[in-house]
Amino acid sequence: MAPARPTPLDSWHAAVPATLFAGTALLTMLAVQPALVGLSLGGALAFSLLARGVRATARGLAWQLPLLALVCVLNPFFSASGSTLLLKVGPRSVYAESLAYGATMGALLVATVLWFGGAATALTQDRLLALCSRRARALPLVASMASQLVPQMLGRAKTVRATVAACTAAGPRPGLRDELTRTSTMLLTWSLEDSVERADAMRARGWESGRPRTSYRLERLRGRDVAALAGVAGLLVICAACAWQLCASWRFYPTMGELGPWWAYVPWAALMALPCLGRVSPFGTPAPPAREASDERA
Amino acid sequence: MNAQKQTRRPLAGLIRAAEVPALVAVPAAMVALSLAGVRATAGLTLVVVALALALVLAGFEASRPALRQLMPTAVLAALAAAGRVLFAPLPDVKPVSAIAIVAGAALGRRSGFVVGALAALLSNLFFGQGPWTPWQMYAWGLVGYVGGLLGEKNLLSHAPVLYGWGFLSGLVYGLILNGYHVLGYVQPLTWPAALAACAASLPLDVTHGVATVAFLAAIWLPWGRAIRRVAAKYEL
Repeated sequence: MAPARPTPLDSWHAAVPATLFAGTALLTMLAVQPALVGLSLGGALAFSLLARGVRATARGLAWQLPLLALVCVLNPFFSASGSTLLLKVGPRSVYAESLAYGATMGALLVATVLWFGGAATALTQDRLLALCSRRARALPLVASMASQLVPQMLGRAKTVRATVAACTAAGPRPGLRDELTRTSTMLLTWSLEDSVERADAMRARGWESGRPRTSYRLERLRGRDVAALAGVAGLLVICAACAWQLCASWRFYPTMGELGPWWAYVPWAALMALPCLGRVSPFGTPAPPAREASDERA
Repeated sequence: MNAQKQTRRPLAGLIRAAEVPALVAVPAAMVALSLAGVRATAGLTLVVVALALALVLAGFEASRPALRQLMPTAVLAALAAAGRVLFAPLPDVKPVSAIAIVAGAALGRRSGFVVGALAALLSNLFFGQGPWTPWQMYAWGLVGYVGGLLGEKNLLSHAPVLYGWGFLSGLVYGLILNGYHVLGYVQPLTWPAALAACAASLPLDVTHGVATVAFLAAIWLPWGRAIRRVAAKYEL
């Protein structure tokens, strides 16, 4: 994964970028209209270039563009529909409308993937887990623990296999199936024993004691975060209303419909540009460390 | 405090009762939206999947699992994710379904769901997150959930049921992931086109199913012994 570059979104409470990216990705997936999808793809691409860099974005596009082409080509193959015949491939007729639908859906898929990637740079795992409700204890614990165990297990798998391979006195090397079974069983036992001891250590420190615990929060929701959250939510609602209107007047089959008035695209374009605009906007200038430690009663 | 507990219990019961309808709602929404020819099927079904995931995960949270149950869940989820990463060079050969079934049988259906869902989420940190992530979480979560249901009825001790669900899980996973793509991204969809898409992916889904059976055959007994050994050693 590409190293995350600091973005202005880092200076806001995690709820702000989370709402922005979740809303943007969701609206992108719901608004199946070529111009809206094109704007979303442009915004996602621009943010990816700014936040992840040219090299990481190009590496991603190396498989995303073929994916777009595949989705584009698959639609006329599975669904020969439309009124403008472009060409005939054997018994299959390829219509412009069918191809346009496929291209729109391919662009939609790539735009969503790019927004997901962009969101991952602005929202680290710690920030996402900090968004969980204080009442939710089990899932954040399991998710954070499992995510830390994955790289540990990948490392331990190498250790186990190297150790088994080094035990030449124990007889000939087992087959691949036996080796994999043995490695996975050793990993399971090793990790399970660790986990039971970890559970005991956590209980010794007051977990499951039934008494209220203090919680360490990386970020505090400030006034300006609430204002930004309200602004983003308002913009999302306006965009949803405009997209609804534009999608209602658009159709793919049998002939493609009207693109609609230009002004209805303005809020959508603003939403898609918002993550990038933060870079040049005075509002987006990263302030002093946004992360504040606070001890609050859980 | 007691009053709080009393008000929470009916909610927890409600969430638990809604788990199965929520899991069933996903394929129902896929078919209904597709038949209705809704253009935004991909986005709307994604919302339904996200809600179903949220509900079942809330059910796990509401069951207030003990710490000693949470830890094995995290370990099995991490093992499943690591296994998927290790087997990445072999397409459709993934141990995730098998581990989710083992987790469901050993720890219960909700833990089975969490193991499958988390394995998809965490392994996608290596393979790339996208709109497919909630679908993979749902599909592997469902595999673990059904594994847990079968385990609770003591059916997984019968080899035909164990391996039967192992094989079917590959087909179910493929049907959900391919169905999501075909129903969401192809329009207008006809029955012959949908069947052609399923037929095209059948060899890959069968490979996934056979691989799951092979993984189950390899790990069911040794992992069962390992879990029982740890349980005896630590008096769990």
